Amino acid sequence: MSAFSAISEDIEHDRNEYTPGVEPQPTWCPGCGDFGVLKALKGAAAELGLSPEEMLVCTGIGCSGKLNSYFESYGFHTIHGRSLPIARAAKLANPGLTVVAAGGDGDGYGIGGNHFSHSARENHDMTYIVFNNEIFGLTKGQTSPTSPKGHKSKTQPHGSAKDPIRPLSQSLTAGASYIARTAAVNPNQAKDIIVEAIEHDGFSHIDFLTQCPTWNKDAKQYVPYIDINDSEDYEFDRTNRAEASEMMYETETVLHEGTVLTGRYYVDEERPSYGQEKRAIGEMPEEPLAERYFDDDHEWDRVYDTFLDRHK
Amino acid sequence: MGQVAWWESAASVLDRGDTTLPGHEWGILDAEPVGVTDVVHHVGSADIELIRLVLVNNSGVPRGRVADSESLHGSFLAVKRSEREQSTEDGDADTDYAGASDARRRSRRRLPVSGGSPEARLLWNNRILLHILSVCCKSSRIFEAIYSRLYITVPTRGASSRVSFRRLLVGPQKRVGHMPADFNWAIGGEAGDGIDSTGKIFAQALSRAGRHVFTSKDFASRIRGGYTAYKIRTSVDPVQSVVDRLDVLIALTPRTIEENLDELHENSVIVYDGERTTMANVEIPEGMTGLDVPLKRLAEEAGGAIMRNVVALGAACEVTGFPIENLDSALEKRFASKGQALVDNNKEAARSGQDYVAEASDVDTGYELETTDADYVLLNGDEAIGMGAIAAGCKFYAGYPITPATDVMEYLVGRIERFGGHVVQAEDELSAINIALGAARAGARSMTATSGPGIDLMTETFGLVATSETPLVIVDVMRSGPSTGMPTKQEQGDLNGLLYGGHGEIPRFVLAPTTISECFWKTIEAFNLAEKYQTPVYLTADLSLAVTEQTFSPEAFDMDNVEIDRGKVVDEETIEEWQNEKGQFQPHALTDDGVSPRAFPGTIDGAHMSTGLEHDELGRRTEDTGMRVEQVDKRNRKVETAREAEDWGPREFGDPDSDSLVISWGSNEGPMTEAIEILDDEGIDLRFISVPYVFPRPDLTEAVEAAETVVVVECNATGQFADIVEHDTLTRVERINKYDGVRFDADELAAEIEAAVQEQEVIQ
Ligand SMILES: Cc1ncc(C[n+]2csc(CCOP(=O)(O)OP(=O)(O)O)c2C)c(N)n1
Ligand code: SF4
Ligand SMILES: [Mg+2]
Repeated sequence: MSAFSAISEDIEHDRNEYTPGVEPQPTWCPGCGDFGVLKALKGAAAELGLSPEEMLVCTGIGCSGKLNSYFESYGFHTIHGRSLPIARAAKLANPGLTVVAAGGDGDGYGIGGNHFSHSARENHDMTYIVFNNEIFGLTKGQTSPTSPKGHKSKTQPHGSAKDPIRPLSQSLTAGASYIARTAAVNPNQAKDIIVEAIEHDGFSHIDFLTQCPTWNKDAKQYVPYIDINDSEDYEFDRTNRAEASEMMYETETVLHEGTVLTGRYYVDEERPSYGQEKRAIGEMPEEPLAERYFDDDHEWDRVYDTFLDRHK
Repeated sequence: MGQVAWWESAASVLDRGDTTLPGHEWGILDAEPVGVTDVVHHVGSADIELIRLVLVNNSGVPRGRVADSESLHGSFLAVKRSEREQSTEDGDADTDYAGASDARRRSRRRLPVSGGSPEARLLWNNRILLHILSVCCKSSRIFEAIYSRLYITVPTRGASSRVSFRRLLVGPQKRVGHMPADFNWAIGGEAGDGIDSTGKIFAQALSRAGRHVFTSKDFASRIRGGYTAYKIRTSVDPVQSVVDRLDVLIALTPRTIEENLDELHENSVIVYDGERTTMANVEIPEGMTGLDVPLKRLAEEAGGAIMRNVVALGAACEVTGFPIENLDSALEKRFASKGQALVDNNKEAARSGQDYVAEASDVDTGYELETTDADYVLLNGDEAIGMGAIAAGCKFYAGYPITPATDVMEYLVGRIERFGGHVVQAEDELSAINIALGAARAGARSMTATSGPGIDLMTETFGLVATSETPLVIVDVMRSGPSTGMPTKQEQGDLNGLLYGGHGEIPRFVLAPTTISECFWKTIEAFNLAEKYQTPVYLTADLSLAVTEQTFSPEAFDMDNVEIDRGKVVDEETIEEWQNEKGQFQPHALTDDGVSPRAFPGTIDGAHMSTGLEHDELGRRTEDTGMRVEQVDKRNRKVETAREAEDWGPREFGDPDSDSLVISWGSNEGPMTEAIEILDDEGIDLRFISVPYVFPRPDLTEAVEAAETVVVVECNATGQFADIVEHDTLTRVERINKYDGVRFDADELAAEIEAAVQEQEVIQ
């Protein structure tokens, strides 16, 4: 018998199913962009017909890291910067799971930056949502890797001397195969993008602009925003790496000039995910790695000659 | 004879303009003195009746004299006498070893008077020296007293004071010219010379011939350049340790001979290629046999210069009387995948080496390596860990390469897949442990392996593993630290880190297999402990276990004895038992044994949170003081449950009734078991307790209390395990520590223990 009975049941799910009985009331500040992510994720999960039990949501540390406390599913609230390696391994160990990792800009682009690059490079089949509020929220407003140059905070009272990182460009260079930016103030686009990201077979990266009214007061609420895929001003082919790259660069630059561009930037449907590659060359079984322990009939090959012959 | 009269002025030795007394040679033992003073010693190489000591101070200036053995003996007695007088004068009870009971003194093996056969005399000399040196080295107070009279001082350089005297004690024994029961062979050259694979082939040949094998490697972390050697000790009986004797050496470079001078003896044979430019003028030390074999030329004739080491192996077969068919079989195994032609070429190369020696040399070494019908497997500790993981049903491995743990990963890749598992090479160790953790969370038995520098990085996640109660096996193959340290050298320095590393108080298990076959079994045990108690397990081996290849009977790895216990895993049907009244699953339920149920993601009705935050039974964050205490207690209770339920017993060797107790942990068991035999031959009984569990660990109180002398042996400078034993038993122990990067060998360990035990007797 499979332990993973929840996977691929074919039943309809309602958005409210993802509201846990356990800790339903988020403790985010009023007006916080993080509510937008939660709402969009619930909507996406319902639209995809996923059961809570076939989802694993791994988060880092930060205000953003609380996401899975308010979302009914299997959740792993990990440590600062390390949600990605945990999430991608869970997906490898059980490909039937829908795996989402989420965390802040400090968590994902700063302390966990190396994992971000490598998870994208390896094109793991999972979705990574970065709550980009351009500051450290939980620790009360310090400068983060996405804080604009000149941004003043308690740790950079005279303004940050550093240029912010370019998360979309970095993601593209690293190798993510689905890259989008959305904003909490645009819940419908956000939901649609999460649906696409989860459906995409490969590493989907969503840079999610989440306003922090508490600590990032001078930051805009990310309105008005422009959807580059709808706007006639921004014609580009999102399957074309060079054009996507140019679009990303512009988006990252104009954000700090007050123009909020959002939408799908890059999609590569061709590139196989890490798991697909490994399965194709026979390095990974199709079924969950934990499955065989439960399968009494499985030919559990313990003939020790196969081990020991080599050593003779 | 007066206690000073026998000293000859060291200055007068130097005055002679050379460093040699007529008919004898002497040398500086420690070229770089560190510490207060240093000792220069010499063992007369030919004339075993004469042993001399010359002492130098820190700047290398000789301060002492030269002594011969007879006067040393007299002097030893004189020292003891004066010590006794002094201590009675001082009325200092502590130094009143002379006042020990007569019975006790009678039971002590007496120093012999000089005379008798040269061999007997030699033994006496060693014994006397041992006594003097042990007294000097072990007790600074007594040392001070002696210092003013004898000018013998303590060399503080290196792993342990006594190690430096080792050659003095065991050196001459090597000169006994009969065929030993065990045989020691080595090939040495530059890194990049193919030393390792050649050595491995010969080891394989010996193993296939039904001989026991124990290998060791001298190597640098550089891939090319730098001295490297592969050494094999072989016998028809089991071998557990290296010794410092080399019978046949294949030297590809002059340095190989230099590096091994101490281990070569009169009967040693050195095979070298005199046609190699660097070897053309090589000097074979007096008394030894040099066999000049044109390795490269013969290899070229057989099909390629690359086979020159195989020619050397053929030559070695001839020298050692080892049937070359066994080498053939190892060559077949090694090269089979590359085609029969290559196999044949290699066999031919080996034959040409053999024939050359048979024809060109009239040396009869008298060596004859017999073969047996026994069936052995040959493997190292890393491989045994990898094999144990597969046997335990490990399905997921994540790692980042690091010496000396990389072999675990390389073993698993290509094998674990056949058992439905997968290996991931991570971007760093931070990632490796988190990847392993993610897979464990998803339900796979999961493991990572690294060495000290990687453990430092993994320590961050270790607390999360324990707090989220996820089973995980983390292997630390220790090497010399701190920082990058000596990456290819032996040390057991991580013990405290493994026991206490990480912020907060982290429940854990720490296992330390003591032999290569135990690496296999402890790995299986580690997985069961991890899953039964949902607690991280550190499994620690060290470099000498990891890279040593040793023979075992295949039964030592009998998979029929492997049991898998996955602990309290629930599924759709059993999950109900663990739901609260609201139907919510409780992954951190407070239970009597501390162990809660585990539901893998994907299980119906099991959805829950896991977190590194303190949490309640549902996995929901909490800072409630009561729940905090309950959860901490629950997690610690798992360790207590395991302490009661599992076997944490030590491994016992030697004489259980002996007054002298030696304790060690991890890999020192091998050399220790041989040291016991060496000492037994000399009439010294020991009880030896080898500890494979460092946390929880066996209670040693009774054993320690029953012993008069307790010595803790380990490869680190500060005596981390000795501290633990003292802490556990509230008894002071003697320490033998080695941290020069080289494992103990049986001879030196025997000498050190003998000294420690006897010094104890002298003091008592
Ligand atoms: C190793 C470590 N360092 C520092 C912290 C403290 N800390 C917690 S959250 C955080 C930054 C949060 O910023 P971000 O990732 O952007 O998340 P946000 O709160 O803005 O959603 C820091 C520095 C920590 N928990 N762990
Ligand atoms: S501090 Fe900012 S990011 Fe955190 S919950 Fe409040 S508004 Fe949101
Ligand atoms: Mg942030």
